Amino acid sequence: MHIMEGYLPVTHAVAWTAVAAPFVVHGGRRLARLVAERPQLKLLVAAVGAYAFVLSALKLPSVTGSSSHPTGTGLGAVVFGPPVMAVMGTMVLVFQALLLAHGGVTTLGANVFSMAVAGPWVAFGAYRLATRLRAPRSWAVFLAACLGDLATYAVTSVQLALAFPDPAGGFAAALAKFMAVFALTQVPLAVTEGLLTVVAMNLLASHGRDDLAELAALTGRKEVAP
Amino acid sequence: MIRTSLFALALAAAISAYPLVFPPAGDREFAGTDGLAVDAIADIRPDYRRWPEEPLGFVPSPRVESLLFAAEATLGAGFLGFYLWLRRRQARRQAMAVAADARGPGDGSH
Repeated sequence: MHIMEGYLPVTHAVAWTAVAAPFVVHGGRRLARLVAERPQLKLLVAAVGAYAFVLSALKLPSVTGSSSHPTGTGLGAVVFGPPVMAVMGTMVLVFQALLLAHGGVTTLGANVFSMAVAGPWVAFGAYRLATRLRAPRSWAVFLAACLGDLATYAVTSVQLALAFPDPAGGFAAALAKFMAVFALTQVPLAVTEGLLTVVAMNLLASHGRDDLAELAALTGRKEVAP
Repeated sequence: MIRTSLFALALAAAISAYPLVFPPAGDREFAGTDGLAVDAIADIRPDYRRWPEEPLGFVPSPRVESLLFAAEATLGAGFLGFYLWLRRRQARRQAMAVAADARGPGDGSH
């Protein structure tokens, strides 16, 4: 889902940076307050960040004959909420832009918006909705990570279609083209990400039970409690 | 919970292995979608000039790139494992301390 360096016109690059920045600043403040109030949760924050690092480094083949990677932001969005993941996701993207030539500095704002803002919010919303409908936790986590992953790639497609509308068919035709590149490839990967996130959440629920209980007490969100 | 996890892992492995075992038609060699999106851009706007022309970050050679990707995954997985190990050890020690307290003072059988 990375928009590569140089592939956004200047106005779009600036605009997406301006849109994404407040989310990251807000998330940074939220994160700073969280670790100030509950220092023991620092390790859990780092653990969900580590999970995003692992998953975004996995290039997986897909049935379409191309390959792509999961995002890994669903787990943290479910556990800590989307603002914290705006920060963690940005760290992953900065690392990949500076050292791996994946994504880019000029396209960072757009990539942050899709992977670190839109994906986590969709994941969080899906989780809240599924738990409210009394879905078992595994299903709720699966849906959250899976839909967050798909949303990230859908947003990337929209960003590219806005920047490069088709000369004949306009925005809609361009969107169809970019969705053809990303969406179909991503479906099996999103399912894989959902499944892996269920495993990760199960591990946190058994080994990190005290941290999750502490977090639930702090935020009042009962659904993350073990 | 363990059964759910094992089932999820097996299914994830099967989904990832499927395209390798049964390659899709055409010779697409599992190209990355990021690059394919660039091709689509060139298709829509052949006159578009990359801005900036070179990535601003470090551009690793393909081998160094796979090394860095592997390092990213290893460090991430390593830390995750460390976290889980640490918290489990702490929980066990706490449980042992509680059990020792429950046996009461003066009981020397540790």
